[in-house]
Amino acid sequence: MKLPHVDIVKYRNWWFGISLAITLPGVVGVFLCLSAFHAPLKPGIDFTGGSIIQYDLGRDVKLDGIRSVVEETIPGSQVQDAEISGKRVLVIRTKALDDQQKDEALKKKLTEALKTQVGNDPRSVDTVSGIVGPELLQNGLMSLFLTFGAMVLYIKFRFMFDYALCAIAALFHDVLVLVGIFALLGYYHGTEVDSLFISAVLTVIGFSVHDTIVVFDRIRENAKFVGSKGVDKNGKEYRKTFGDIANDSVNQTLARSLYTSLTVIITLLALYFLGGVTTREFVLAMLIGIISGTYSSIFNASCLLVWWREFKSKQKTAAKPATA
Amino acid sequence: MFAKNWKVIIVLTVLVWSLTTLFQVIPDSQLAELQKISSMSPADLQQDILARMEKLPDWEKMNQFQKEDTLKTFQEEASYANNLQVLTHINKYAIVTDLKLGLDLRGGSQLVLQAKPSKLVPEITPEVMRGVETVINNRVNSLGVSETVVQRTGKDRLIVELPGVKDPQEAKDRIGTTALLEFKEMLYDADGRPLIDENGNFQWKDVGLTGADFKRAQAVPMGGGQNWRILFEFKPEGATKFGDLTSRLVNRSIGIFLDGAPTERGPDGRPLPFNEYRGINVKEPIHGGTGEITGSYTKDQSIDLALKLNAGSLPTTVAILEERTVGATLGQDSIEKSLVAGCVGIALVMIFMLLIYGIPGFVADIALILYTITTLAIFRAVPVTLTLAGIAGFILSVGMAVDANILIFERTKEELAGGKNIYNAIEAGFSKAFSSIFDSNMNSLIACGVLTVFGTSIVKGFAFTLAIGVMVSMFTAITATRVLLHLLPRGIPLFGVSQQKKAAAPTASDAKLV
Repeated sequence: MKLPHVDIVKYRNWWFGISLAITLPGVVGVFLCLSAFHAPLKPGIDFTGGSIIQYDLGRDVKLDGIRSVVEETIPGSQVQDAEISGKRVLVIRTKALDDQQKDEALKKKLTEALKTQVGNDPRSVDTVSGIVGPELLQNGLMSLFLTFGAMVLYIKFRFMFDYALCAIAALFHDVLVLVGIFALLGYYHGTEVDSLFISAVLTVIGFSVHDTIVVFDRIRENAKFVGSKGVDKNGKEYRKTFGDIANDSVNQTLARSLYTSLTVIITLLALYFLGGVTTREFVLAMLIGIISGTYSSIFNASCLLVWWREFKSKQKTAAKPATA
Repeated sequence: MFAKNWKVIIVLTVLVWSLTTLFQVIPDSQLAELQKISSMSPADLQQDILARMEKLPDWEKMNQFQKEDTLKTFQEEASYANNLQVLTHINKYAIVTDLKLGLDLRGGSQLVLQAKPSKLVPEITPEVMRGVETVINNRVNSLGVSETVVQRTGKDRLIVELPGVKDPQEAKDRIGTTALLEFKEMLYDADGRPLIDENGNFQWKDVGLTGADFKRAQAVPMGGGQNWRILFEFKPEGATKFGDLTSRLVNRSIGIFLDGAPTERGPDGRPLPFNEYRGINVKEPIHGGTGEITGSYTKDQSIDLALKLNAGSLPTTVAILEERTVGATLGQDSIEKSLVAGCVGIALVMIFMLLIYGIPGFVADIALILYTITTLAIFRAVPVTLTLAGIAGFILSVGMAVDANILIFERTKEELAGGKNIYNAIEAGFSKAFSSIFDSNMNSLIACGVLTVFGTSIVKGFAFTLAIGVMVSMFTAITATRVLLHLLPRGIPLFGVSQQKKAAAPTASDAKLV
């Protein structure tokens, strides 16, 4: 299996276009969510808090039936087995609704629906705050931006400043794709994000930069060939530009980029189709992010770098006559 | 000869260390004993531990400190029993591991705490609760590798969930003494003598200085002698209050009380009763908020006092209302499925590597197995409480470990296509792929470092496991793969080229994929 040599840099406007076509609806989705839920995504119980309803449970009661009843009545709830002083207890965590009356009505509906399943009334109903409070989110965002800063410094130190900016731009692209898709899913499909989504975003950030650096490493290595002679399809000689070098580098690392992403995607697909229901959205988030990360490091990061270099050299040549 | 073999020795040592750290072999009889302990309810367990401790031959002779140490050993055994996962039985022995899993994966204990109003905090306002929540959160998350859940409920309650902890005493220890630390001044009569009530106790007066003003304390040995001293530090506001207090009370005493009882204990570990507690004599005004407590403190006494000072920095008293054991947040059924799915995923990746690269792919698979065992062994040794966030970090680091091998192999194939012989191509593959592996991994490590230092709970758990994974992958994917490739017998075809000395210089068309 030999991968074809693709003119990636030449068609860069197409790649940027595809990225825009995916991210723009996502941005719209974020705004839709902001107006509907006062948050960029539809927040789950981990963020909003809600109620904890507890039932005494017989040993032989299966959770599956209960889970489907709960999911039908109040979507986004968590059902959990617990043991309190030797007795089996069912713990249901449901979301708080903005409308208190509606909230009460739903809870009542749920307890009635569950009465047939469990056979008794709940032993307690408590209201709780979210696990992920505003402090944690603020702290998370702050540490994330510090991390971006540290990454920029490192890439500037080992590569150059414009490499660092392009890597971060590709990273933002991937996070935006992920957040945008989940914003749309949240608005139209009611998909909620929980604390696991934070882990998924972190994974995508880690993968995105890792993938981009490998491609940039090749460009850095090949950069010494800028200006060297190349032969095109028609046998004509030409001087290689930075764009040609970037194109060669992306092509040389193309097999590796695809293989590595495939190994991660294989694992995630296995987790998605064979794994538990409770982690399915988490795995989906990682899948979207990894695919976007692969795309952006092949098609966006290096094209962006070439575009920036060409923009700068044009500026230089344009500026020269003025100073002369 | 040795120079060539030392890498083999290192790889083998790592493998042996990882296997012995991750897995333990215990006789079935001991396993039964441990399983009995782990199946007890928290209350029964405490009874059982007490009964077994009293049966110890030198129990009577121990002082309070030694007794507490013994209790701790028994509690550690219970916690080990509780974390134990049996992998398989061979003969009359069981292979077990005690990798710690988080609340989302295997449940833990749940405590309901209630903040109580005190003289200084007459009403539990949302601000007070936020303060309590922050302190408790800091305390339970102080290690950074164990994910706990702290939630506010109602007006004055907190729900704290601790992973894998079944013994309530241990849970309480983790939260710290949820008590109120108060500083008080000793009362004196007109002649400057301490006032004593009818029971012979000294009299103390509140001064409005509490644990909320206190920052931290540390026990350190005094130069040369047997004695220890305690260094302490107040928060800026507390420092001003403490400065005013000490200027007013030179040559008089300040008492430190935890939940109203004197904080100090005698040299034998017995808590000092009110009529013996004289507080701490102020030698000179302490401004600036830092100072030290000196006296004839033993090591045990000073550490105990420092612990109590550190534990008491809550704005108000907190009582434990309820204790219960909870199941995995993500549901046990769901987790078992995901575990199987994860194994299927890794197996598929290994098959993929084998299909793409042939024998070198097989070598990479072995390196991947070594990688998994070593990383898990480090998780156990640290110890890291593994949660789904941690597993996300782990999956990413597996991807990076595989990526390192793919980078090396792709580079080797390019070198082969460029006309190098197989041996030189492999060497060049390693050395040329190194800069990209190094830079991408260093970047990840720096990011993890920042996230571990500044992040909290989920973010921290993720970054910590990823960092460990990246470091291990640098070793297994580079060193171990290289050692294994060199160990392969000559003559085995690699990357579609037979590994003969001075093979005819292959052309690009020879370097086909296997």
